[in-house]
Amino acid sequence: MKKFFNRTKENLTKSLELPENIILDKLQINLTENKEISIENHKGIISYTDENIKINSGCAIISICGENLFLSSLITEEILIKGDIYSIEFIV
Amino acid sequence: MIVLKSWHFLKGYMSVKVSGVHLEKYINLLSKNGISVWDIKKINPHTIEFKMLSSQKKKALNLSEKLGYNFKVLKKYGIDRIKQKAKKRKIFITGFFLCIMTIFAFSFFIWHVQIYGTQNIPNENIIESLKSYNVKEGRYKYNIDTDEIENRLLADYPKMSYCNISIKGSNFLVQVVEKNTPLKEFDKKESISLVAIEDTKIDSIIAYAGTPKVKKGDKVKKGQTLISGKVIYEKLGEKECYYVHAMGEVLAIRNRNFKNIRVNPYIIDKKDKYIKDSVYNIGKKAYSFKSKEDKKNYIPVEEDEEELKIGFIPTGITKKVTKWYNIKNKDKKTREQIENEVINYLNKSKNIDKDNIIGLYLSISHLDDNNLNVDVKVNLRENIAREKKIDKKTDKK
Repeated sequence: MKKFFNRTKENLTKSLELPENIILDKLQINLTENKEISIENHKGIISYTDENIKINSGCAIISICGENLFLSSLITEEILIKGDIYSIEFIV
Repeated sequence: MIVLKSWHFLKGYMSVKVSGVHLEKYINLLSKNGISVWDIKKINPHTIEFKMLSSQKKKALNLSEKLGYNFKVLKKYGIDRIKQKAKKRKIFITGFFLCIMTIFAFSFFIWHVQIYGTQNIPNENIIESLKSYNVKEGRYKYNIDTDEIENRLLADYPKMSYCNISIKGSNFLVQVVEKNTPLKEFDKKESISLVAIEDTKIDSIIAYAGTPKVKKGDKVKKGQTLISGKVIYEKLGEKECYYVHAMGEVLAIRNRNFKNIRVNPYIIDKKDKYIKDSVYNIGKKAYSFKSKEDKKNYIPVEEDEEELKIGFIPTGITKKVTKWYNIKNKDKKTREQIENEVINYLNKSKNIDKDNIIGLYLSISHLDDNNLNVDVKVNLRENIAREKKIDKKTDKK
């Protein structure tokens, strides 16, 4: 039932050309230079160190590598990471 | 960001240290339970520090207890912190608020009356008039009708051509513009002649109304008519007359003598060292504080009496200071400087305009206490006309 509901919602959004990230709560990543990254609609933190932060996005694991990384803010839907970001990797 | 920080400050936030195994799980649980955290720093693999709102402490503490984490509050910030400090310093906080409230309460009243722009009208007279209108230091400022006071001042002082009153803070400011030539109010129905106030020689005569009876250079006697209020004209070969209120300016050179004017003969630089004597007047009692030093070679310079104030609030205590300057190696004033000082004295004390002085003759003698005694003979150009009512019955005879 849930799958059917989700599929209908997705089809309706596509046919009406509505913004998917808002309606379907899809992952959205904003990167400001290599200093700040915000991830919306995440599913939680997997691991957290100064050099590597892994975040569960639902469809993949996002691995952020860099230096002096820290979680600037964390709320239910959004996570903000600051530091010197060297790479962002999607692990499917 | 500033808005968010301000919001956090107002709500009150705290710095927290949590230690345990697999702290990522704890962070995820916090976000899932709607606890917003920020500045999450990993101190070591088993310890994190973060900041959170004080109001959400209970929830976070319950979670950590359930999962077996060690939860420790490091520091409180914002309103909470202030509240915590205030509890320890009750007297200080009470005093602070009382002080603020007192200043706030006192700002409802007038504590200083300032008058600008006066030249001939003495400020003291205006202050006295304001007092009679119930405008004085300590008066509640919000029920003062400034327009009414302006009108009353203009009515009471004919020499005033403009008056503007404004209240800035606790200052009552009166801006005055005086008329260049103060007009005297005349009752035109009255029949008046102008007569001489003493025996003298006329220097100049200008008649605005009436018939001039003397001319420049004439010697006149006390009571002699200078400008007559009786105007004679010819009508059909017959002389007829009518009466007016004579107006005009009859100037003559007058000699006036002023004796025993005390003048300090030394040029005093106010930056020089001095010995200070103070007298405080509290009500009718006077308390003097005099230095015990020998003042043989010192000369006193008295300063104006001033009222002591705490900030802008008058205390009712007046202070008069006398400064004693050492006269050793001091230059003496020249005759010209003494003359100027005497002119200033005459202007201030005797209301003699500097421009009316034609000649000034000083007779200087020394007093015992280093001061000079000056007798002055002044030649003044003054109006010598005095009004005298015409008795029409006797005049016609």
